[in-house]
Amino acid sequence: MDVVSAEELLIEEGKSGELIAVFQAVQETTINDLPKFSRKTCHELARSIACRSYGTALVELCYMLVAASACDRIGGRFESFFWDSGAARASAFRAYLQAAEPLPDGIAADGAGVTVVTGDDTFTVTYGRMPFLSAMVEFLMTALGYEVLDEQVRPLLGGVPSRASITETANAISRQLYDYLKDHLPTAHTQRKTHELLDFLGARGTGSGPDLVDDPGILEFWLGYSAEADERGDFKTYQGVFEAAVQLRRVLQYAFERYQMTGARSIGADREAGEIDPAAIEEAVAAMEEAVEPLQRLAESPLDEIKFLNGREAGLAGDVALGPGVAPALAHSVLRNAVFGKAQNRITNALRHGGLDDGLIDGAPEADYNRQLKSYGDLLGRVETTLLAVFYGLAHGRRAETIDLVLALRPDIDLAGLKDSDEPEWEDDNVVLLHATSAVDRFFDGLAETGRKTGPLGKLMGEARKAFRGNARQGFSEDDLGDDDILDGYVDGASALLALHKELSDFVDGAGRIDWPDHFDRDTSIFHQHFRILYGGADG
Amino acid sequence: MAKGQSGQGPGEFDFVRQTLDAAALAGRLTGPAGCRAAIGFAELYAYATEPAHAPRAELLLALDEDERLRGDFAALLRTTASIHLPQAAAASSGALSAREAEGCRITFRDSKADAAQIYVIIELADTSAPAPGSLFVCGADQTVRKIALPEAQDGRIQLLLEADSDLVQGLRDIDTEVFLR
Repeated sequence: MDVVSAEELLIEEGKSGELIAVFQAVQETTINDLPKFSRKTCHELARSIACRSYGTALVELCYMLVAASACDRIGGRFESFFWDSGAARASAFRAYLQAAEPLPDGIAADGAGVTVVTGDDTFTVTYGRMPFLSAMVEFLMTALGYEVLDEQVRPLLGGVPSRASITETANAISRQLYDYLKDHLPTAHTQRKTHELLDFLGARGTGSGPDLVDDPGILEFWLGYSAEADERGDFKTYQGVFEAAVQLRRVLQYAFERYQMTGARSIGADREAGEIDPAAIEEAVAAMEEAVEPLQRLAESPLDEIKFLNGREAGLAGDVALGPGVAPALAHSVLRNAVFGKAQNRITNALRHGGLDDGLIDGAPEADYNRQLKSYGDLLGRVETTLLAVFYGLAHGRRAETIDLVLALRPDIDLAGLKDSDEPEWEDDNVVLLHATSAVDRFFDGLAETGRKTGPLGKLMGEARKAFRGNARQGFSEDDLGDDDILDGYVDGASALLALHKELSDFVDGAGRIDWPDHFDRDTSIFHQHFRILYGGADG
Repeated sequence: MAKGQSGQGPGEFDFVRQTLDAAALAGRLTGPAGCRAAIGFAELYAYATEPAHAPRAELLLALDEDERLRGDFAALLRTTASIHLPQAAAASSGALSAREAEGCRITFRDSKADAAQIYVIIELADTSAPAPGSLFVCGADQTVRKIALPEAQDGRIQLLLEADSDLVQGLRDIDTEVFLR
């Protein structure tokens, strides 16, 4: 276990300040008062820099610069493509490239992206990749400077250079960035808490893969380490330990699934020599971030324009939406965190404000485990009702995604009635397409039939109508049904809500099979006793 | 490979540790900064290319104080400006009465109505090209001054300015560079 001194940490802080300020600038970049780069794009950029896995991206960027320069037929400059094309979205770059057509020989924009032909080689930068590359170039310009980079990329401008020239330029930028990060990217172990936990659980050795992190291990660690406050990290709050454990389980789960982490397969180029492929690390970090993406997405623009969840519900969802499979595997810890972790937060808040009394340390928590579990069950019901309301809105707008949502809400529903019995079973692809379109039309026509309440679809539509009309929250009024932005929000929101629904139902189903009162009584005794050790009190 | 009791080898734990470190670092880069944002290139570009762009005080201050940023800005003007009037010839001395470059001539004429004011007349050779919207004066001391230009009339743009303003002084200074964009 590496131990990092306070002095080393201060040095690391100083080194990284400038880099953080550069990232801040990228995130704060606006176009017409709206963020130019999405949160997802900024996170992708941060991962690429933090993992030093930007090599491939810089090659892509160099091809992108060739295409960007080709869009400026007079000056052959690249700036306008990146900074005069609006918000960094795939659609904006596609429109910009289309407006610049015809592009010079060797460069072509098609449905997927822009292709650069160098000799016998072709390289395509997809439209979907362009927002990230735009954020990368913004970062490079801000961190390294325009003058330096302009000089560096000159060979790429005003024509189609050789593949060797493009690769050489990418390597030169990579070297510049490497040097910059050497001075600005912290190198100390920043996750001492999780490292310590990993070492503890590894030595304990009661499980393998993600199951290394289990409920007894988390509690044992907190009980054993929370009273210590040394250079190894602060483990005082159960919540802090729980969060570190969740993060650790996510990484172990990812590594276990991806690499069958039992020693059978190596990770990266030369694991024995301690070398791990930066791209593998970046992939793992991305998987960890994606695990909590649905709930974050609901809370951020543009989905926050629609009140899918209120603050209390979002808080409850956050207790459980920890990434697929995590909450059911750590059900006891989830409840300990929700009940006693929050009780401890009240104690530390009271301490901060000088109002701590024994009642807070020894008092009964706000809820027992069964009551807490019921709150999650109620939330699950709320999410189901909201999904029905969203279904009603999408059906009203005749959005194709309605059918996906029906199948997600009612996987066993019989849609055979949508098939026109007079239509032959054509095998030809084109005819099947028309056939499918016709079925979609019939689907919506059927849903729209006034008063139709029979059959599984009619029944579902009746429930959905009721759910929509009973929802008085922002984004669920009859007027909103005519707003395309709201309907787009329903589409995005539905995928996030479905992911949340799955996590909640898996947790509630699994935890509902456990008899909690005895666990709660034992935990009450353990936590109260330990709170007294940590904070003093009547017997402390 | 040696394994721990739990079945994970040391290399695998290294992977987990490095992932956790990278995740924490990425989180720090995108999390609440606790420090002021740097001047982003997009802001510099907007100031250089949008005539109506109102710069933040932080940008102007940084242009005064940060040598690298000034260098970047000057380089940006050189690559994106439609007209560049370099420093006047070494033989010139004193305040210039006119300055000229390919495609453009700038002359100065005293105002008859107000002696404290002066007309700056910009004549553009190519009247079919889009007229510039901004004028930048970059001093030898690396200071930058910008003014939004009114619409050109038959290739001619006319400004009425205070004769002793920094901008006019800069335009008539042999050591400055002028960019029109």
